[in-house]
Amino acid sequence: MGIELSEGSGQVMLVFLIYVCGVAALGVFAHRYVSRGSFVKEYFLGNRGLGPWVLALSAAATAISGGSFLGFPSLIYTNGWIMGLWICSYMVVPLTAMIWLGKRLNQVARIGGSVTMPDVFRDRFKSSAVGVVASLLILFFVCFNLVAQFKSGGLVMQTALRLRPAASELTSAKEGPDRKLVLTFNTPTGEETQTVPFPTKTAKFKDTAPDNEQREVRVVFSDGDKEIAKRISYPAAKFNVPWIDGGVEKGYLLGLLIFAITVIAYTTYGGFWAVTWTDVLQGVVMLVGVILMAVLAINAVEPILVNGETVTGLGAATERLRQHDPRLITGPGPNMFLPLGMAFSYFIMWSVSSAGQPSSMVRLMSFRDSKSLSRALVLIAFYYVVTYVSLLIVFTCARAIFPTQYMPGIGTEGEPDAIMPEMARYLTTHAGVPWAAGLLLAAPYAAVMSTVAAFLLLISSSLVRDLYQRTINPNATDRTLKLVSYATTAVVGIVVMLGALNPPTYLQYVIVFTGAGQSCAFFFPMVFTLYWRRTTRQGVLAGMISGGFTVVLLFVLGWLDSGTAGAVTGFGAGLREALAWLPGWGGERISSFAPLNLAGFDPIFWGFAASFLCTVIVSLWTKPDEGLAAKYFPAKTA
Amino acid sequence: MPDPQAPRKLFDHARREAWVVTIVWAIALVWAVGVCYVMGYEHTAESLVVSLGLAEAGRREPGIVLGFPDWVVWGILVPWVTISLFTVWFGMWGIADDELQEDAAEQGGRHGH
Repeated sequence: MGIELSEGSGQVMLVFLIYVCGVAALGVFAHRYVSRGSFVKEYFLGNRGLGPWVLALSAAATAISGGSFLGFPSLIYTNGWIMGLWICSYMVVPLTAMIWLGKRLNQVARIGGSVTMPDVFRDRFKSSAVGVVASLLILFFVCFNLVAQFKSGGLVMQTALRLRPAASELTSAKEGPDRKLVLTFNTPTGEETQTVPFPTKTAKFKDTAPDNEQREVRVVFSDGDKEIAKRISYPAAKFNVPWIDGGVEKGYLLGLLIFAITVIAYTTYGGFWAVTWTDVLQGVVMLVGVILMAVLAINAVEPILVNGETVTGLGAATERLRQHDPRLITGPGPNMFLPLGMAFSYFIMWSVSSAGQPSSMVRLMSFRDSKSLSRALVLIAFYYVVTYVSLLIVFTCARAIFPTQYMPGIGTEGEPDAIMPEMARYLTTHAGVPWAAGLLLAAPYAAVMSTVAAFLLLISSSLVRDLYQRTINPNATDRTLKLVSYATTAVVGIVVMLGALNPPTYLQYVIVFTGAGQSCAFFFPMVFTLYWRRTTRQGVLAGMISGGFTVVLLFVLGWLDSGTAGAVTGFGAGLREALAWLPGWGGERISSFAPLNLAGFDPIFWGFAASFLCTVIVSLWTKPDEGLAAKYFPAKTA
Repeated sequence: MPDPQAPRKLFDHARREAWVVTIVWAIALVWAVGVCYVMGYEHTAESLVVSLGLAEAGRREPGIVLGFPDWVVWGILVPWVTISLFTVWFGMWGIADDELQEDAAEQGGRHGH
């Protein structure tokens, strides 16, 4: 197979192996619980038996995903302290995610005997249409998210494996566009190129010196009478995959396979309990990992002299950022990253969208008593403040340690998405404990795995419970449901894994799109379902569809804006002119996958507005079922 | 013996607790975004915060407190700690310990509409 590990990877892999064995063991143990009672209720909801610790760590581990441990660190590294404002609404997420809907959702689910979130809508309004639409929206958004999350898992494992580059031959080194040197290699799988940005504006390319033993090239530049050398690894070893141009990197493919097999296996076999118990393990790993990284990061920053005084630790990091670029320690951040309107939007985004996620709602339907909810609230408040403040500290220090090495376009060592795994390796090597990189890398791995497991089960429940059992075959036996559940979970996982072989580039945008889409589709419809007697099934349908559609539309418009930028003739130009009236159209875009921020506000703002208005207006326009309302809204007794 | 008023009490308490959370959420929004904007952002001479005397025009050089920029301390860390303490209090003493009723029979059939 030609797999060659690099030095030090063996120790990292050992720690990963221990972690994966722990996860697998929990999955096997959870399977015994699935055998009790009603299969569907046990497999998808744990028979409403969640206690405080499992509820808290499961909710936290599911919410904190690859986005938090890979995407967020890369944004902190690139944009500096403004990311504190970007994420700070997590200070209220414990309250909003658990209390806004918590007890009331649990009560309504018990009244109807509901097992899934679409079940709650279906039972409350006695409407298959509402249940089916909710299921289809979940399927649409969660599938996108899953591909992105699988990619994250593959990337983390790829870093842990750190396979040796391919045995290659450097054939040419030529200056390309945008002051980048293009190195061309002959590799076992064909010709590959690596680009190397020039280190300074006045540097000139001088020479290359390949080292076939280390499989890297020493590239030498001259800048006046100074010489600057960079070490560039040979291209990554690849497998040829018939339907993918350019093949797939061996490290990524192997990483993806290990990740996918583990998470699909324990989710399929153990269901809800496997997912939640492994969440507890993963929650602990994440917390320990991030605290350890923060301690190591603060100690790894070089001291700096400021006004005659030596500053160390985090103060030194902040001071270095100030000297490198003052925008890194003030708002709105480099490249106008977070203007006021967007700061407002992101505060709403995390706090409100967390409450609107179907995966979060399922956990609220499954706690066993009110005390479990209250205690979980306390645990989760502590968890979030420690985790997110630690991440801010770690990756602020990362920018002080690596001021340009991982910056987009000019980084000599990689792209910003790589900063988490690279920082884990650097800190542990710097501290003299390289084996601990495995523990630190297990943290983002655990984050992705917990989210993927929850989403896999969510998709499976939508297909099996909401579409198959309650729409297609209501008389299915427990045995049939068991087989269908296992098969569905496994097949969905495999299909998503194949999709992740050639995944999208911009993980963070995919994750934001799916999170925003789900919360805009479900938050207000659920709030009104639970608290407003006057809500009708038509109102809920309108709210779900308008919320989800608004988010999709704004992302499509953003893509069109990028795709037609610069067009002067033809369809592109015509489209630009036709849409020029939209506030925010034609502005500077960070990425072609970024949405259109209409009037400076994130799509989530507009999605929530649309969903809120449609639910209320259509409900007022239509007639509620008073009999059902009486069932679900307890009357005051004398 | 189950309390016949329990379902209604749960509904009333859940609604009250949701309103409390909404108020806390709004306070957090104004505090965090407001303080960070006033103390941490660059302002033009014509901006509202400058005309109200809350900030000066131009980019302010932040002080460093415990390694953090000062606007991060006052606009993010202090509210975060405050609200976390409130959350602990709320979880321990503010949320009513309502009785959750038994599960209805699991639904399996179609629903007409």
